[in-house]
Formats: sequence, C-alpha cells, structure tokens
Amino acid sequence: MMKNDTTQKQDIDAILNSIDHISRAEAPPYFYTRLLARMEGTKATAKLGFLQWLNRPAISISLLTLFLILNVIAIRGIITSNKAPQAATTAAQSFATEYNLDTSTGYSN
Amino acid sequence: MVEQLLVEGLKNRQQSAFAQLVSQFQHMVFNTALGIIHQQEEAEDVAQEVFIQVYESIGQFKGESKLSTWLYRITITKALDWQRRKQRKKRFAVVTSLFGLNDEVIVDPPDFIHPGVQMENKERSAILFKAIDKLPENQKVAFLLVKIEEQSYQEVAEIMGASVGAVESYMHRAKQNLRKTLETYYTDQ
Repeated sequence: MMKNDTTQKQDIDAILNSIDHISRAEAPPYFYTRLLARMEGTKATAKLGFLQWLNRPAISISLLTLFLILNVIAIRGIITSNKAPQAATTAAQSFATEYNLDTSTGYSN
Repeated sequence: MVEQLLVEGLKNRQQSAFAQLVSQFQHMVFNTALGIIHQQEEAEDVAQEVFIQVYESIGQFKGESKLSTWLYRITITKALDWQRRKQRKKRFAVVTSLFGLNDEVIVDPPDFIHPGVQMENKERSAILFKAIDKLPENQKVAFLLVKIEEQSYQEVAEIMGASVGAVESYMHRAKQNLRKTLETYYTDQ
C-alpha cells in the first residue's frame, strides 16, 4: 500500500514535470501571408459595410413588406384608372340617352 | 530603442514595421494561445486576431510596459474569451440536447499533445494539459506563462497586472489543485 502511494506520488510528479523545458510551438508556415490576406478581406468587408445593414432580418423584411405594399397600391391604382374612363363613358352615355343626344338616334331620322 | 522605433513604425502604418512585429512575436503569440486553446487551427486564428488588434490599436500603446507584455495581455484575453465562448456553446448544446432540440453529438477534441513536448513525455503532458484546463483562469495563466513560455514571476506579474506575491500564490495553488486533480485521475483509473 505504502509502495503504491510512493509510486503514485512519483507518477504525479513526473506528470507535473512533463512540460518543464518544453520547446516553443512555432506558428504555422505562411502565417504572415495568411494574416495579410485576412486583413485585406476585413478591409474589403468594411468597405461594403454600408450594405451590411441590408443583411439584418428586420431591415430586409421591412423593405420587402414596403415593396409589397407599394406594389399593391400601384396595382390598385392601375385598376382604378382603367375603371375610371369606363365609368366616365357610362355617365356620358346615360346623359346622352336621357337628352336624346345618342349619336345613333341623331342620324336615324 | 529598437522597440521604440518599431512602435513608431507601427504608429506610422509602415508595412515593414508590421512585418517585423509579426516575424518577431508570431511564435510567442501562437504558443501562448495554443497553451490555452489546445487546437492548432483555432490558436492560429486567435494569433491572427491578436496582430490585427495590435495594428488597429497601436495608438493606445503608451510604452509604459514592454511591447511583448502588451502582446501577452492581448493574447491571453483573446484566448480566454475563445475558451469561454466554447464552454458556453458546449453548455447550450447540452441543454438543448436534454430538451431534444439538438441531436448533434458533442465530441470532445482528442487529447492535446503540445508540439514542443519531448517524445517520452507526450502521454504525461496530455494528462497534465487536461488537468490545467480545469484550473481557475488566474492560476491557469500564471502556470502556463511560467511553464510553457518560461517567464519569470516578475514578468508574469507585469503581464497579469498583479504583484509578484500574487503570482507566487497562483502558482502554489495551481500546483496543489493539479496534484488533487491528478490524484482523482489515478483513483478513477
């Protein structure tokens, strides 16, 4: 038992001393090249930063909703403007009929 | 004097100064980050972030400490941030898997073997790094700076912004805690 304790203590000491005089790990090759590439990439992203806010869901959904609302308004506007001349024509025709100004009536005699 | 010139060059955005900074300190920064992170690719990523931060905030460097001390501080802060983020993600994954929201299997990375460890000590050092990971942050940082960066207690005190006495205490407690963890490891074996 005593021997086991001593062995265990020795093992633990060996583990605790296992990184004494360790050599420094070296950064991977081309570290500087990759670092510069990353910095260039960050700069390019920063230049496009003003467009970044478009990626935010709140902004993009709001813009899409606004776009749809404008489309609906535009379509309704077109439909109304198509209907309006017809309505005007119908009113003119009923006026002409009422006062016997109908063109067909005018030339029938 | 040479360091002052280097800092001046960095403040003037000279690419040659930045290249010299990276060449001089890349291994130091990478090794420190690797000691905490235990993954080569992630440590490289963090080391890159350190140099980007130095480039961006060199104006804030007052020269009150050595440039290497400042670099150590940035590296340790970034590496510990990375570790906290990783632990948060791990906890979140465990919670979501409990509620059946996440079927992803959480895989622990394989044992970390530091590339600078001597061949005969590889297995033992893997056990030690696992135990170091469980130390409180101050003890971990002090222990790693002394052991893998071979910094003196005075230098570690400057890096950590603590007194030499505090560093001695961190080291003493770190060794005690490591011993306890390793005893548990042997009992469980």
